[in-house]
Amino acid sequence: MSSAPVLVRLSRAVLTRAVRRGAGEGTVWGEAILAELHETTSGAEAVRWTLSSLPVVWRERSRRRWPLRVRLSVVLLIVVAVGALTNLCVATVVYQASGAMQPTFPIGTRMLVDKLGFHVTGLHRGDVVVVDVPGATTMVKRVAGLPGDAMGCTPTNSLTRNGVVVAALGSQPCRPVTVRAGDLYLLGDDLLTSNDSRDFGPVPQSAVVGRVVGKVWPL
Amino acid sequence: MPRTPDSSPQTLKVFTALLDNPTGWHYGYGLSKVTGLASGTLYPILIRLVERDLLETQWEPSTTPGRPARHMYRLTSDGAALAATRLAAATPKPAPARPATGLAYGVGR
Repeated sequence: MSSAPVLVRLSRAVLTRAVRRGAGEGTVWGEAILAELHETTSGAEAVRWTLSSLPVVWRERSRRRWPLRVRLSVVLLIVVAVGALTNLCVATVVYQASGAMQPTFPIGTRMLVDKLGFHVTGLHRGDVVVVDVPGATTMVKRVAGLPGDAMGCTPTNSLTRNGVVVAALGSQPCRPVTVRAGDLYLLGDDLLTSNDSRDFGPVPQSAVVGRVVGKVWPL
Repeated sequence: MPRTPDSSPQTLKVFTALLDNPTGWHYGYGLSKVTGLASGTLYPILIRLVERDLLETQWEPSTTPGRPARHMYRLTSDGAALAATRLAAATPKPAPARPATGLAYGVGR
């Protein structure tokens, strides 16, 4: 090494510094380029090799190159994670398994559910919500009564809200109840078959998973 | 950037050099000499080919102490196929001679 001309030694020093930057070993390609520097046969050639290689070496160093497959896997992982998080907290699609919301949402309808916004806007009469009914299963029902609404009964077993008839057909015996603060009175659109607050009473708002904002399928 | 990937003149030079010995290992310095490309042009091409699994790499431990191990490159079967395709596409075809038989097929004439 000490017998090598000045230019060769200088080139080696510069390229080594660029590839390794003081660390023990540089990137694979940096080391590859550095190794080939030993093959140059003149000082001028060594200088040319070094100068030409510097941009490549710098790019390699600053961007530790992972193989394409690894990079794609990382991107896929991120996409899946973001998707899962969105599905959990922001919006999701729910499948209508029963006929309780006919004819609005027949069996097999996929509905887009807002899981976040309804906390801000609040729930109103007429909103269709996805609810985890305590002691029962997850259902899709419409909000018929808000806190303070007095759900009453007519002699013909019809359900009224604050004196106005809201459900004309009553298969179950009608039970009057005033919706407490923090509760909701729910009715399925298919009043004949729906199992709803007429059966299990008002449900707490905390049981609401999300608000249906539209149909995804069928279009 | 040429529209077809791996078809720049520099890449084609690298392909030509690699296909000269398709099953053998090539060194970076040798490729640089044969293609006439500077290392700053050659190595980004090699890096891209390796990333696309068109080129495989190997380190050759040095026999002389004090000399570092050398990086070697060889076309994969996919790489050889693509190289041949790209080179064939780039070679200008000779002008077609008169058709040997009377039947000429052509669309829209």
